[in-house]
Amino acid sequence: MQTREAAKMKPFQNVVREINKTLNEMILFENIVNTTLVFLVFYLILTVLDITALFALIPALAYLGFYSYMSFRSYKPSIVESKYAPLREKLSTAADNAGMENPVVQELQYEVTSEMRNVGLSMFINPRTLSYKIFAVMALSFLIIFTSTLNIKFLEFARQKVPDIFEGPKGVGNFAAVKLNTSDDIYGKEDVAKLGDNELNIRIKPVDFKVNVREEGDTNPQKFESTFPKDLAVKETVAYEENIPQEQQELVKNYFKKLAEG
Amino acid sequence: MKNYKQIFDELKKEMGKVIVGQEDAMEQILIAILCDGNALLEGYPGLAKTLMVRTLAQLMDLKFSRIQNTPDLMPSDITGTYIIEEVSGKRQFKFQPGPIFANVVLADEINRATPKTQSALLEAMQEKQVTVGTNTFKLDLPFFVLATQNPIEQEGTYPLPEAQADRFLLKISVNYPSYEDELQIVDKYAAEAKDQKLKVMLNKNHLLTLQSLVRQVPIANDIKQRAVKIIYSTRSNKEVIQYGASPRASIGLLLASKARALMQGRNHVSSEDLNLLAYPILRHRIILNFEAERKGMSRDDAIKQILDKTK
Repeated sequence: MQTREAAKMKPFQNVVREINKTLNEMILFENIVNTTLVFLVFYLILTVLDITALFALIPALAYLGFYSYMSFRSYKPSIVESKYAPLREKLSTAADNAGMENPVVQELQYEVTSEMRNVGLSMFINPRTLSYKIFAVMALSFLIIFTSTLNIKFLEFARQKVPDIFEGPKGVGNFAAVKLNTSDDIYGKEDVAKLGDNELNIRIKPVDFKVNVREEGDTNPQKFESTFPKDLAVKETVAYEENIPQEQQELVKNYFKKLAEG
Repeated sequence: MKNYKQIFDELKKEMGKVIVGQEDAMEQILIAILCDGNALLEGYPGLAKTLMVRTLAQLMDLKFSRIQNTPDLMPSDITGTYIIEEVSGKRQFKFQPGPIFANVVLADEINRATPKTQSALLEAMQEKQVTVGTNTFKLDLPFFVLATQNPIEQEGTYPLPEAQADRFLLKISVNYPSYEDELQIVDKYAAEAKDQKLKVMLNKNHLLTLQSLVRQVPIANDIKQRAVKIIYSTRSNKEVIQYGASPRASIGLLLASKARALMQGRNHVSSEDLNLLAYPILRHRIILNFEAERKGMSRDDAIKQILDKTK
């Protein structure tokens, strides 16, 4: 009997857990690749239809959620059995009875564990399908870049234009503030405000710059006028003088003198 | 498990020395024995039903007895009765066991016995004990009743009531042999008669061990669910079936499948076991409705329909 060897093996529950974990990871990977495809397809469609492309996230996330839920719920031993015929009905039986302890179950678990060594990860990945999907992802990405760059839109939806405030409101209440104000004190002269076809030659100096005296050369002597302008004139200051009679001044003087003497 | 397969292969080989063909019937009888159940063999006269059972008992070193059922057979003829015996000048009642006190009881043409006598077998089949008067006697284990009946000559017979038929784990159809098999039969038995020496393959203890081992054979949840679904469908499929099978059939189907797995040297039950054993398990447990009978459907056709639906 193989029970002694079976006793040396790790518990079958661990084997089942490992199978579930590995398959979940693979399913997640496949779902992510598929979700990327779905996202890119919808992104491309929305781009050429001139609709906000980020809406493509909705079907992509819905796909990821639905298929992940369905895949994670699926019975993993059946997936392994479908890929490796010698394990058919054996693995699921062993997994369902992992907690049972009797010689027949132990022998089955030993047999299944030995057979599992022949099961490779490559059985669950179809390289051709996967490469097609990756190629499709690349192709779609390039398509999206080209359509965005060349601004290709098959169906352009009418966009609402920004209202021209200079035309004034159309039949909407009292919007006097929006009316064109042509007074010079705010906008200046109208002919100055209008640039027309004239070319602007503006040079903006950087905020932080250093003056190199050598490069700048000699300074131009500034001319200052030696005389003040005519409209400037000096006036004498007018002091305020009180007009108090002499006798009253004496009287006040004496009063304070007496106060000081006490 | 391979060793068990070898044992059963040897057993079948030994049976093949006496019985030509009838492999399916032999396998199903063995399944019934491994499940500690009883079997009803149905077939036309002269198809070696009795010989099959007798040979099996011989190969397993089991005590064999045969009851030839007739309308005047009394229950005490089966169970046994108290007789007056004189011991040292004193007369006292002593129980004289009937043919039921054996390991393998062949109830030949069971449908010829009266319902009263048929019901005497019920307690023995189900409880493995016999009550005579106020005393209950335990039967020696292992104990099997293998009953036979033929589908013709129904006049003057007492068809088994449903309750009694349900106590048989399997209803095994014994069919006519093929042309080649019949040629072999003729060669074997029409020539000079010579005794076939049969080797004893199993004994009581081996058989009891195997019976306990059958229950240890694991089954996957989806196969278990399908087994129950098959039996449940017999009750819900009113298009062809008037009365379906009881949960006893579900237990029987699972046990029989486990026994077949053991015989095949498998350590797990397969879906194929269910497909093959659903017929003998359900054959005597379903009653077709008028519409199905009008269409000429047999019970096996109805079972096939259910199996197809539950795949």
